[in-house]
Amino acid sequence: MADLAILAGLLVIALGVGRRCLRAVPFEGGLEEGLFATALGLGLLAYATLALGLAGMLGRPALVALLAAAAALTWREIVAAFGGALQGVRRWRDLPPSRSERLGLGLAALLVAAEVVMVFAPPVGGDQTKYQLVYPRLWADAHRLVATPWSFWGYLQYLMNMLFTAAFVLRGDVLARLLNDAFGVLLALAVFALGRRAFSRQTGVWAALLFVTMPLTATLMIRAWVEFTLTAYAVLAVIALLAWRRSGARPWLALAAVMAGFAAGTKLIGLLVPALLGVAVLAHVLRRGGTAALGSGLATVVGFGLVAALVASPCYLRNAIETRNPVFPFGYGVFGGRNWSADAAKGLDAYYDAYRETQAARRGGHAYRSVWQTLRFPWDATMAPQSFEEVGRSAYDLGPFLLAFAPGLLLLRRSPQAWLLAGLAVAYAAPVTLFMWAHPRYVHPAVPLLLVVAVEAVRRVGLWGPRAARAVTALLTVTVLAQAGLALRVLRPLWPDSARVAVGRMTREEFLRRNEKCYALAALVDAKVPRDGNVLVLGMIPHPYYYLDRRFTLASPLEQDAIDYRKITTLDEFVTALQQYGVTHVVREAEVEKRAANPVGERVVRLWDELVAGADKIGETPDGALYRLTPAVARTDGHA
Amino acid sequence: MSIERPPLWGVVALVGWATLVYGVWALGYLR
Repeated sequence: MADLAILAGLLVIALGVGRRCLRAVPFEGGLEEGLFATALGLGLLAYATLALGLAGMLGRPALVALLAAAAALTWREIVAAFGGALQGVRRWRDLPPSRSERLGLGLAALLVAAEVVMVFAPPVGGDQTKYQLVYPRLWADAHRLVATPWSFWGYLQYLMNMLFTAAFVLRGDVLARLLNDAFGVLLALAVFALGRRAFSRQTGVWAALLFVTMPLTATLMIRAWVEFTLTAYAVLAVIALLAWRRSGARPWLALAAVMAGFAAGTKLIGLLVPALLGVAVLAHVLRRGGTAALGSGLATVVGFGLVAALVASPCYLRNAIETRNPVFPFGYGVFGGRNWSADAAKGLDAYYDAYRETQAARRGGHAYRSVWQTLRFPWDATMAPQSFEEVGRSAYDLGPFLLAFAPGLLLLRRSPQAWLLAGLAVAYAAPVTLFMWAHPRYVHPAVPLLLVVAVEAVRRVGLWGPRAARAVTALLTVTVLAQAGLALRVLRPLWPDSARVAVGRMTREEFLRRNEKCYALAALVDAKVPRDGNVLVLGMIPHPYYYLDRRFTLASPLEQDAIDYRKITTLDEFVTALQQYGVTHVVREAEVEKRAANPVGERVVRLWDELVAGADKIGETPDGALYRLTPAVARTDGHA
Repeated sequence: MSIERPPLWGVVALVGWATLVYGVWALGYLR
């Protein structure tokens, strides 16, 4: 309950701060104002956390003082926002909402409540325990941002990871995951607002319902990822763009740039959002004013780009300062970067290529190698979403609606809004699938845009008479119910134990022992390694180090170049390379069936075997063994 | 906003395509 109360406090303060900053924007309704204000406030909180981390002041007193000051400065805005919210609820009740709308809202609320229950148990599964939550917790423990030359994931930490850090400073992983869920709900409301602004209230309602019940949404609700945040900022940027196109009001354009900047500041792929919106802005100015408006159009786009770049920049600047590469470890050929090399980049590429190929075999195919093959992606993502990552089919299911009805765009010939939304979605998804990674999660910002278009297309089919209208309602209802059923299937494996943790009938330790394969090894480390120990982890691929309640150093040959196995041939050289990190213990993970060979070769395994051969074994689990290094090898004067 | 009724051929094509997609998608779970 305390976590929910703190979350509510954070959201209210974010709303107040955002509202204060957005006084110049001519909002037409309270919902849009609330969404934009909250999103802006949370983005500012993320960057404030980053600043505190860089200043070495990342403690609870500093963060609480900052939040208290923000609340004190904006309490009038908060009170006014609540007044507006109450009026909005009354207006909604006076409409009155249709029966299907009430039922849909009830279903969505139940589903979200079931998902939120799961957040009260410890995080299990997915990248959250490999890097999304790992480094935020590390920083919160250290009260500052910590250099991690032994893992590039420490530099793939962007806006949402800063919010996770704030959550760890204030409370812990439950609050961090609640913040992820808050962005999920914010995004669902933004989908409604987009549908309503672009077409109609009904379109917005159905698009939001289809989004909330989508099984992929359930997966993202129960794991701390950054997709909701990226997509929420992207959708809000598109709403602001639509508002600017209609009203011509400059504050809307500035707000679109700010939201697009936050999207870019959330994830590297998100840099596409301001780029694409900038093109849309230029196209609109030219369509209105012809080629004579080229000069003013370019000036508008440059201004848009500068605002977006400024808003996006903090995490990239941090990377540039610490690694000399703003997009570390990518773009090595252009920027270079510390603790990385062209060989390391090549090895990582080869590993991910092999990963994609292995997963593609689950649909009886191969990883896409050409534009023609990539055209299969929408079909494969719908029919075999399990062929992109090691998940069950329902976990990444987008549902059938998008693929079935997005082509209905062709029926919306005279609807420029529909073509703009679909154009932005395709322009986002195309470079991601062709040049980065064709993966359902990586094209997430395109999903709500296409959903809104597809719903509108289906609603137009309903114009063919009362029977057609009833058929459309039935189709939408059945789709929502089928998706909700599959979403429950996503929740089912961990839900009963999660609910027990939430009501205090199961401890977090017991939950982890029952549900997290790697927990036994982590518990062994916690029991045997002193608090000031530093554990060297010898493993090929990232495992959930999150549960290690000790300092650790990763020695994977894949995700760092600080311990450069290409140049290390003897045990003495290996030990010399390790000594700067001050490791005291070693975890040698059990060899799992590897998706790809490590990029250096068997020499890595030989070095590891030689290192542990000279160490004292102090425990073993099926997932790996724990060793204490001899004093001659270990040094404890190194870094965290 | 005035809303245009889509042409019948378009509706038929869309319904045909959607039936195929829904069918294959559902079969994937029933198999």
